[in-house]
Amino acid sequence: MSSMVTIREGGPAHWAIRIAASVVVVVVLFAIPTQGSNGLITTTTEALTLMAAAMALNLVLGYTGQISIGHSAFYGVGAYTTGILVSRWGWSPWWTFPMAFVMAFIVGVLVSFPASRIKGVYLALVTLALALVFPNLMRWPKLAWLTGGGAGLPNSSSQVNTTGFNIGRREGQMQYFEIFGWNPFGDLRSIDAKTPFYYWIAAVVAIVVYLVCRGIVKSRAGRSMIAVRDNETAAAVMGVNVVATKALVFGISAGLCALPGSVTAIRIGGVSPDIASLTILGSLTFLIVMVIGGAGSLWGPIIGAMLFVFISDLTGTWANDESIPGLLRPFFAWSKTPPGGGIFAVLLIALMFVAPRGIVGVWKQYSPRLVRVVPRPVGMNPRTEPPVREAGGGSSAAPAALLSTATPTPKGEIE
Amino acid sequence: VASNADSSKLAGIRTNTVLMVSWGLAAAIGALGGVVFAGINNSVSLGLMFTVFIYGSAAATLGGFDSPGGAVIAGLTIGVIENLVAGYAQVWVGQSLKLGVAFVVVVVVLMVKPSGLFGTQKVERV
Repeated sequence: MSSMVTIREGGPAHWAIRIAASVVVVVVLFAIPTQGSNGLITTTTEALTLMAAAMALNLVLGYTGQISIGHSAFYGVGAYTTGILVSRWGWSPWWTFPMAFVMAFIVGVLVSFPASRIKGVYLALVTLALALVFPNLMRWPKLAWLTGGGAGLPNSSSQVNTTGFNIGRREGQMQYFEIFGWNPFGDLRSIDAKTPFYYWIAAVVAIVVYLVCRGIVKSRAGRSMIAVRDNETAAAVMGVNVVATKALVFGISAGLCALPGSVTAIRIGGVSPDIASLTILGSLTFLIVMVIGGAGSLWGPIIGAMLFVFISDLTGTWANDESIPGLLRPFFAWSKTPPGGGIFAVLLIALMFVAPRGIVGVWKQYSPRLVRVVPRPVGMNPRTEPPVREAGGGSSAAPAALLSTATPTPKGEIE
Repeated sequence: VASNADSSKLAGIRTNTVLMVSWGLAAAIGALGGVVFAGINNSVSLGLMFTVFIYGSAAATLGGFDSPGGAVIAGLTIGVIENLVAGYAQVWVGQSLKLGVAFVVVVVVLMVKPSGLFGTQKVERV
C-alpha cells in the first residue's frame, strides 16, 4: 500500500499536524460554550462525561483486554462520594474529586484481585455482579444513614440540600465562580451562566482523563498492559508482573471513571440509585461507546461518545413525525417513541460487520494511503542522524534500548 | 471450535456451520425456557427476561460453561442459598441484597476454581 505523503515521527511536519489538531480541538472546546445554545452545551457536557467514563473503561478493556461490565459501579462510587461528602459533611465539591478518585481506586484494586485469577467471560460475570449489586447496596436500608437509601441524597437529614454547587440567593450559597479574582461566568444563578460552568467542569475532567490515559498508555506500564492483552502467559514469561499491572490498571481506570461520576452528581445536584448511568445500563453504554469508537485507541471513546450523545439528541424529538427531516420521514414515521436507541443498535451491528475495530479502526486502516507516519528509529534521539550500524557491536545494548525507548509495535497499532 | 477456531478449521470442521447451528440451538432452547417462564409469570413484558438472563448467566458460570449438568446443579444451588439467606437474615440482607448474595457465592467459587465447579480447566499455550 503506497501512501501519498510520508512523514517522519517527531519531524516538523508531524509536529505541524499535532499542533493543528490541538488547535482545532481547543477552538471547538471554546466555540461550543461561547457560540452554542444552552441545549448544545448541555448535550456536549453529557458527551464529555460519557467520553471520560469510556476512556477509563478503555484502559481496562481496550488496552489490558480485561472485560469489565462493572464500570457503572466505579462511576457510582464517584457520584456517591461527591454526594455524601457534600451533602452530609458540607465539603467543597472541588475537594470531592480527589476523594472520589481515591475511593474508586481502592474499589478498583479490590476488584482486580478476582481479575488476577479469573479470565474472559468469567471475569465479565464478576464485574457484571459488581454493576448489579452496586445500586442495590446503595438502596440497602442498613446503609441509609449514609447513602440516603432508595430515595438518594440530599434528603431531609443532610446538611446541605444539594450534592453539587449550592447555587442560590441566600447567605452561604454560591453565586459567583471566581478564580484569582477573575469571574468568567458571571451570575451563576442564571441558566446562561450555569450551563457553561458545568460544561467547563466536564471538559476539564475529560481533558484530565485523556491526558492520564495517554500518559499511561505511552509509558512502560502501558506497554505491560498491551503485552498482557495480547498474550497473558507470554507477558508473564517475559517478566511483566501481571498481577501488579492488572491491579494498577483497574485502580486507575476505576479512579478515572469516578471523576465523571462526580461531575454527574454535581450537575444533577443529587444522587440516587435510579440514575441510569449508575446501573448496569451505564456500563453497557460505556461499553457500546467504546466499541463503536474503537477499543484500544485513545480517540475511540471520544468519537464514540460524541456520536452516541448527538445521535440520541438529534433523534430525541422524532416521536413527533413533523420534526423528522423530510427525506428520512418515511423511514421513521411509524415510530411513536424517539428512534435513537433503535438507530444506534442497527448502527452498532452494521459497524461490527464493516469495522470490527470501530471508527478509529477504519481510520487507521485507510489513512496510511494518504499520509503515513514513519516511527522514529529504535533507541535514537530524533535529531541525530542514524549512526552507521556496527557489525555485531549492538547486540548487548539493543535489548536495553528496546525496553527504554522503543514501542514494541508500529505506532499506528498502539495509539 | 471453542478451543481453537483456526486449527479446527484446518482440521476440516466447518466452523461457520457449527457456529450457526449452535447459535440456533441456543436460541431455540432459550425460547423454550422463555415459554415456560412467561407461563409462570402470567404476563409478558420487555424487561421480563432480564433477571432470568442474570441468574442464568450466573448459574452457567458457577457450573462451568462446558458442563450442562453443572449448570443445573449450580442453578439450584444459587437459588436455594440465595433464598435461604434472604429468608433467614431478613434484617441484614432482605430482598434488596438477594442478588448480592448470589453473586458473592459465584465470585467466591470462581476465586477457588476459575473455570467453574464442573468446567474443564484450560491449558494455555504460548
